[in-house]
Amino acid sequence: MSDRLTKAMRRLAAESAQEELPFEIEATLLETFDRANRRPRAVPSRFPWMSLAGAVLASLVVVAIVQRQPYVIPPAPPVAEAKPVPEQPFVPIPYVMPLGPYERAEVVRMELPVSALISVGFPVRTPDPAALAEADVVVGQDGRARAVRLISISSFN
Amino acid sequence: MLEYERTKDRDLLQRFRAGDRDAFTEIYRTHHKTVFRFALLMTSDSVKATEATQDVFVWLIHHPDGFDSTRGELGAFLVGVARKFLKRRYSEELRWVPLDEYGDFAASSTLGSEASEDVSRLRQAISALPERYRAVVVLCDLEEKTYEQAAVMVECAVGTVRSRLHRARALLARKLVGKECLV
Repeated sequence: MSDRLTKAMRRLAAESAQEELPFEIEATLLETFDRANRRPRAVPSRFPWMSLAGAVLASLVVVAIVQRQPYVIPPAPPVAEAKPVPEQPFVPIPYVMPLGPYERAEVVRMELPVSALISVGFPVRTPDPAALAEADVVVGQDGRARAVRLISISSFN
Repeated sequence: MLEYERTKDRDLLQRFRAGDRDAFTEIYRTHHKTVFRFALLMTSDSVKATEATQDVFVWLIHHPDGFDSTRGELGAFLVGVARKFLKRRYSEELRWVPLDEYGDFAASSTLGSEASEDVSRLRQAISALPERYRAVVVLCDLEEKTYEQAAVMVECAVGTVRSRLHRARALLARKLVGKECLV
């Protein structure tokens, strides 16, 4: 390092040494310390067996209450109803190159979120945005979806 | 650090952990200057340095067992904590503050004009260094810590401190040579 740089370093160090923290910081920290140490600490019980006995008694009461009540088979959760939709034609997905005449494609049946169908321009009307739609998807050789055909919509609401 | 200082720190820490307010005050008064100076030289901003120092001691209050006295000195540990706070803060600020506004450089030098300019340019050049280089320059060249102490503070090997310092000085020289001064 050059002499001038070394001197500048020393001056900078000396300048920073002159800077002082505001005095209020110490007071603020002490308040924080007091607050942190004011929290009630767990006081050891003089009769630890009493709390244990209490816990056992409480659990016995709970078991007795539960055993008195007849066991009822809980009703099965509502099964999602599949609403059949009449078969529709494949709708091409916009902004995707159409399949070439000799390009191979595969039709894959899958469950899609309704929102995905709407985003490709499918006019789906459902009150449940989280609903899943069963659809046939035409997938090209490159793995891109080219067209969609809606089969049914399952709503869980 | 002298052995009796270490023993004193250990004793203070034990009392502080037991809830002794005076012990905490003593710890604060012993170490706040080191932490504050480090933060000030890292940020070139006394407000940010004050906040960082406060954050470090608030953290210590809430994590009284966070420091293991067998692994180093309390002062070095607190500087390491300050460095982490500053890093976090810097990365948060980067999202919002344009780089050229970063660092509210204290141009309030009390020195003569040339010396003052040198210090101001040096401060700017240090502030513009990447954090890992800035930290070693601040610790070794400005705070005059040994390589071993700096290694503990930045949590890396002594060899890494040496190489970073070498690189940092070269970067500083490169930054300052274009500004017709210091090197």
